[in-house]
Order: sequence, then structure tokens, then C-alpha cells
Amino acid sequence: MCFQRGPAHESPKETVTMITFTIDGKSVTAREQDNILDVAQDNDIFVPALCHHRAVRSYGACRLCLVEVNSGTRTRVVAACSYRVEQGISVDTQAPTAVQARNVVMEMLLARCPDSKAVRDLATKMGVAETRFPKQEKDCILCGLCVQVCAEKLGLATLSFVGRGSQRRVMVPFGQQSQDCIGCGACAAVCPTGAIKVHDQGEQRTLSTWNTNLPRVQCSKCGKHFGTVRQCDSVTKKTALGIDASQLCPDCRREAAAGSLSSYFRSQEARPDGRN
Amino acid sequence: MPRSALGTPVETLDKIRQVAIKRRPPETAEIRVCCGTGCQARGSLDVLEAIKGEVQNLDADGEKPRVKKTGCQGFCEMGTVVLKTPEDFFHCRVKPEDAPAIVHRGSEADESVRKLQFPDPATGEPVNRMQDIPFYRKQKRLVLSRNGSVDPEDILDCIATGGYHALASVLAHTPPEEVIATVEKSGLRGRGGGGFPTGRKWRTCRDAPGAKRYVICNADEGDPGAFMDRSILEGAPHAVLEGMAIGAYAIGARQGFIYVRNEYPLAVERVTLAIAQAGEFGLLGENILGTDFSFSVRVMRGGGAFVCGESTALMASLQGEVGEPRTKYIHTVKSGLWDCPTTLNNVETWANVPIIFEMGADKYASIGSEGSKGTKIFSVVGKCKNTGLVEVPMGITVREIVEDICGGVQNDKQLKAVQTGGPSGGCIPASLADLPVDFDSLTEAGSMMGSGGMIVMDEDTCMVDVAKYFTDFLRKESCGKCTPCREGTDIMYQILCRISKGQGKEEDLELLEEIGKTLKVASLCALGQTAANPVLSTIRYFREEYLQHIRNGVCPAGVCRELLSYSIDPELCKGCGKCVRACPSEAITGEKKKPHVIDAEKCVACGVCYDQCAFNAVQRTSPRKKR
Repeated sequence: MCFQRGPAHESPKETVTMITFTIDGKSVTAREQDNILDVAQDNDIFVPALCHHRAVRSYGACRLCLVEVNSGTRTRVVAACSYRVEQGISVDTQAPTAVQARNVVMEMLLARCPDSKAVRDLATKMGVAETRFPKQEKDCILCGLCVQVCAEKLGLATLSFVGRGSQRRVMVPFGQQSQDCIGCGACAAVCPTGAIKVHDQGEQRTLSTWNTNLPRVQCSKCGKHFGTVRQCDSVTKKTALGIDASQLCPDCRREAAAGSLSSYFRSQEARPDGRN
Repeated sequence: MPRSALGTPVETLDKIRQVAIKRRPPETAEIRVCCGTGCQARGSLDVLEAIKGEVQNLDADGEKPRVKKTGCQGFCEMGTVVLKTPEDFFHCRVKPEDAPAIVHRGSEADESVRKLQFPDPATGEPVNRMQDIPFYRKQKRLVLSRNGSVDPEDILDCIATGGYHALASVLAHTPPEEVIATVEKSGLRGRGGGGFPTGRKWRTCRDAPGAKRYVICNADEGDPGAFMDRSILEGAPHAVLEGMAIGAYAIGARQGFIYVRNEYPLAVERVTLAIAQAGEFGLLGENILGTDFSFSVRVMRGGGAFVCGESTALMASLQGEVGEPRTKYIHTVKSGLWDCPTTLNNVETWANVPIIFEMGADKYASIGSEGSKGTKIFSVVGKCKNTGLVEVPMGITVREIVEDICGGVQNDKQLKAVQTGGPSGGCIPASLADLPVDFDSLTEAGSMMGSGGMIVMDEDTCMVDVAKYFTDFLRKESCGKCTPCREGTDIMYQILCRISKGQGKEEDLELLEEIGKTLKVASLCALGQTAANPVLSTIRYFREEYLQHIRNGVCPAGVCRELLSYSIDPELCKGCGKCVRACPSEAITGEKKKPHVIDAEKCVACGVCYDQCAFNAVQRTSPRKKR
């Protein structure tokens, strides 16, 4: 894979080793490949995070999920999303150094994306009311979820980071109409701030953030436009069921499936022995 | 003991060595021309050719000296440097036309080479021998010793002088466990900046589960002003390869990589050649020296991102991915390159390995200070008299390096601070000049060893400006992956800009410190974690200077342009007109041979007139006068 990040996930083992440790004094149990953030969330313990999604590998970019971990020999602040659980550690989500650091990080994000609802809501939840830093007018927090989902889940790697430091942004190659984007919109679905715009109009889907326009297919039954041509081709190929996904829109497909099922059952009822 | 048809590894190497010595008898006199990048820029290749030509013309009866190109001799300020053995006559600032004088030089007091001799700074008398020059006298050149004596493009020359002997004897007598124990005993710590104990790193890597293992040489030296790794790769590439082979043998790796920045063409060329030559002589590749140990090395060129010197970013780049770091909660020694156990060390660390085995761990550990053993190479630049590469035992004081070795501050100005550790290092004030230079005391003082850059600053340096410069460098080189480093360095830079314009507030200092602390705690990799060092260390030691900028709009060092104004003293001005011609904004007027005047409205405070005036008539004042 061309966009591999972090330590590789271990292949599923026959037996799952369980790990016991504490978060804020509460004893919790988790699988050994779990990270602190997921376990905390599963146990209803609030740890702020913006760049984490369980569907993809931990990236550790936003630095909002900082917590303090005591491993017996050493106490340090770590990113909960990237730190794999260990037997016997104690995690303190309210340690002053961690809280102080993530509050300043939140101020930085608030300054970067002052108009993002997701960022503002999380800031309020964290108790960060205002930012002391100069405001920019950006809507992307560079969490990288879109890049990851495209590479890891779609296997396309249409998107990548471009530029360094404050010039960093996410783009398709050379900022030009993408050759590989299928217009599935997974990037937009996973984006925490709604920075990625997907717009459907008639025969065309426009992903203005990626300077990409893609033709949509028309349902052979109802005439409605639905997914993009590339998207339907991709589904046809991936499912390999010999069904052309670009023929019917989801509604008509459902209808057709229901119709063929009911005629199947009717034909079953018609047989006296009830067997095939 | 592993044995091949040729004998033990030591015997095998010895056979090659005999051939090498026969071809290059050690008793033959040598003329060694420094062909490091610095001297090459000053035309050393022409000097080499001129000397070769001159030697060719010598009478046939006498034995002709061997003319050799060597790696960097360290004294770059004085290039081209030419050394003549066996007397060790040292010549500096050599031009091609000086070739006959050097070749025919017979005695110490030869008048014809007088202008090529280094004048003793105290007496002004010409110095003959390299070891008598103050710049070299206080140094302890272990790693750099090969740089000046061996032809980096000729492996036989290297073998003739003891190269690869450490590898051969390790392969012959020492099991991998013992190799690691020796490195642990030597106290060697990583020279790339972190200072992690090398032996412990190797042990963890060897013990980590995995079928494949890798060793990497980090030659992505990106600190502005630092060039020790480049010089080692250019001057002694075989020392690095030998060290890597010993390391690979110890941890059980078969493949190594040298990640070198593409901006180092000579280093890339020489190390590539060295790998090819080592392969020819069976010192790399399959069954090294007839043993069952196989190891090959590939050169990978970096694209010039500063962050790719960070181990995980480097490995990502090696794998063909975007060069950005990842969290290291699982260390790269356990899961590094392609998720395999990987040992990454810096060029200088690898070059130290053969030395440890040649001199013995105990003897190596006797050099240096309590927690930092061996020597360290510094590239000393800035406002000192003798800039260049300096190899000193750890624990030497900053003062000894700046004053004794590098001849003190230029123009007899006051030392203000020494910046160590590269852009994310910190400034050590002159009041701490007696601080011993080792990993722990530098960190304690708010700076760090880093890879060994050392910038000497005099009283004309503004510390706000210094912090601004390095923060600007870091904000541009931050990969931008994590929020604190990307946004934090940018915000700090904006605040520093404000302060240097006299628009700062006192609360800014607290804010800078708060951002700095956040960067330390919250950043993903070492670049971000140390990015606040320039700001935090200058606030710590030079708070008063910051306050002068903020409260009074004064830049005491006269650097911050927005806080300066220039005027001409009519008593001193001779009306020569030099400043008029130099001024970019046509702000200076005046009749010939009459005192000139600067129009404050037009003046952009660039300071060109100040630098140009031969009569010190241009006055610089801070704060800026009201227009």
C-alpha cells in the first residue's frame, strides 16, 4: 500500500488477550490492540478528539486527546488515540499538564477555524471560551481523515497532503481534476468540520474542494440521476456479482429486489411439496 | 572461529592489506590536498592538478612524493589546505601557482612558502606543523583523523592505514552479544541529537521479534551551519560503512540504508563509490571476508525536508511515503522500516563504532565526561576568528572551544551567546561559557547537543532577532502534521515579529512561554517538542533585551530595523558620497566634500550607509526617532 501509517495492525489472533488498567481511577478492560481513546469513549469517559475515526488507523495529528499515562516507572503525556493499552497503566484524563496543553491546542484550532461548528462545540465542551491567537478563516483542521479513508478504505489514495507547515493542505495531484477520484464522497462523510463540499446537480457531481467534476448515471427505470459513473463501475467491479450497478438507482433497485423476492416466494407457495 | 578457504577474516583482510601497502609504501612522503566541499569551492581541485603536474616534473632519480586528495581537514576558513608528510608541514590558502613552492619545500624556514604558513595569532610567527596550530592543538581528532590522511576515493589507501580491521577482528573473534556489550561499555551515545545510548538501542533491536532487521545511517543533516556529517561521508566513507557493518552483524541485519540529502552531491558520489569498492573487495555483500555474514548497503537520497532527519519521517520517506513523523510509542527498534526492527544511527555515531573496537571500550570510555563519552565534532560558525570543524572530547567548556580553539570573537568584540544544537537548540549566554559541553549539561541549560552546530554570537547580535530567525526556519520546516507545531511555531513567529517592530506587549512573553510549554508537551515529534527552545532559552537568559524592545522600543544590539534610525554626524562626514551611491532609497543627499544628510522620511533603515562609511560618520540610534 502506498499510504501506510503507524504500526501495522496485527492480524486477528485466535485468542484475544485482554488488558486491564485504570482510567481516572476506574478499572477498565480492553483488547491488547485497543488504544486509550477508544476504551475511554466506550466507558463514557470524555476525551476530546477531532482526528480520530475507528474506521482508519490512528493518525495522531490534532493532539486534542492528550492524557497522562503512568506506567509505574514513568509518567508522561501521550496522545490517547495512538497509545496502545498496556497492562496495569493508570491513565489520568484530567491531569493538569495534559488539560492545560490540550486547551492551548484547542485555542490554536479555534483560531484556525473560528467558524467551524464542530470545533466551536468541542471547545465549549472543553471549557475553552475564546482564543488568544489571531483568527484565520480556514475550515479544514488537517486531521487527515479524508486522506486516510480514501487510501485505506477505498484503496484509491486520491488525496494527499501538500506543502509544509502553515502552507499544508489536502489536495488531489496538482490541484487538477482527479484521474482516480470516483466521487464516492467518503471524504466528505468522514470530515469532522464539513470542509469538503460535494454538490449534485443533474448529470454532474461537483467536488469543488478537489476541483473535480464527475458525470452521474441515470436510472434506466425512473430516469433519476444518482451515483457517478466511476462510483457505479467501482461497485460493479468490487461486488463481482455480475450485476451492473449503474442500471438502477438505489430506490428502483430495492423495488426490483422486493419484486423478484415476492415472485420467488409466490412460486414456492405454488409448489405442492414446498421444495425446489 | 569462522574460516574460509582464505583463512580467518583477519587473515583475509591482511592479504588485501599487504597488496595495498606494497602499492602505497607508508614511508613514501605524501602531499595531501584537502578536497572537502569547502576547499573544493576555493579551487582545491586545481591545486591538486598543479601539484600533480609539478611532481611529475621532478627528477626521476629521487623518490617522488605521493599526491593525494583527502577529505575535509576542518580548517575551512583557511582553505585550500595542503599537508606535506613526513614533516607534517601545514600550508593554507594555497593557490595552484603555489604548487612548486610546496613540492620543492625542503626546510622549515623555507622563505618561498612563508605566505602559505599559518601565522600564530599570539606572536604572528609562521607555524610549521599542523599540531602546533592552536586550532588543532586542543582538539582530539579521532573520527576526523582519517579525514585528513586517507584518500576517500581509494579503498586500498583506507585498508593500508587500518581500515576495516575492526570489522575483520569482530567477525573473527566476537559474537554479536559481545559486540553489543562492548558498545554499551564504551558509553557511546547517539550523535544525531537525542543522545540515546547506542548499545542499548542495538540490544533492544536485536532482542525484538522479527524475521528481518535493518540498519540505517541518517545522513539527512539539515541544521543550518552544520556540516560534520557531510565531511565524514566525504572524507571517510569507509569508516561509516565499517561501523554499519559491525552494527548489522551485532543486531542481525542483512540490509542497510544510507539516507543522505541530495544537496550533498559529493557525499553521495563518494559513499556510492565506497560501497562499490567495498563490494569488490568482499567487505560488503555476500559472505563478508569469507564468513557467513552478509550485508549490503543502499544509498537513498532525501528530497530536502528538514523533518526527514527525524527517524520515523526518514523511514516513511525511505518507504516512498510522505516524509512525516508518526508517534513512537512503539519504538522503531521494535517496529521501524516496513514494520521491522530497525536501528537508525547518525553518520558520526557509525563512524565512532570502528574506533571503539580499535582502541578498546575502556580506553574510549576514558575520554569525555561522566555521562557523555568519546569526542564530539562541532561545526563552529559565526563571529569567531577560526570557523570550521572541531573535534573535542566531551565535557570541554564552551569557552575552550570558542577562545582557545577558534581564536575568540572577531574584531575583539564581546562574546554574547553561543547557540548550540541547530535551529531547535538554544542560546547559552556568555555568563555560562564555562559550561561543560555534553548531552546533559546542555539540556539542563535549556539548549541541547543536537547534531553539533555551534554558532558564536557577539555583542552586535540581537537575541529577539535570533529567536525570530530560528522560529521562522522551524515554522517553514515543520511538516504541519500536528496542530501545536504547525500553528504554534507560526503564532510564536508572529509575536516575535511584533516585538521586533516595537509593537510587543509585556504579556507577550508569558504567552510565548505558554505556547512553548504546550509545544514541548503536545507535539508529535522531536521537531515540535524542541521548536520552542530558541524562544524559551532567549527569554530565560535575555529577558531584559526583550523588555527593552517592548517597553522602550529599543533594540540594544542595533539589529531590529523598525527600531533604528540613522543620521550623519556632520563633524565626521567627509562628503565622499559613498553612502549616496549605496543607498537603495535615495534618502541621502549632500554636496561633494560637504557633510551629507539622511532624509528620515525616505530612509528604510537598511544600514547599508552605516556599513559603507569609512569614517564612522553614520550614526545608528535606537529607539527610532519620531518622524
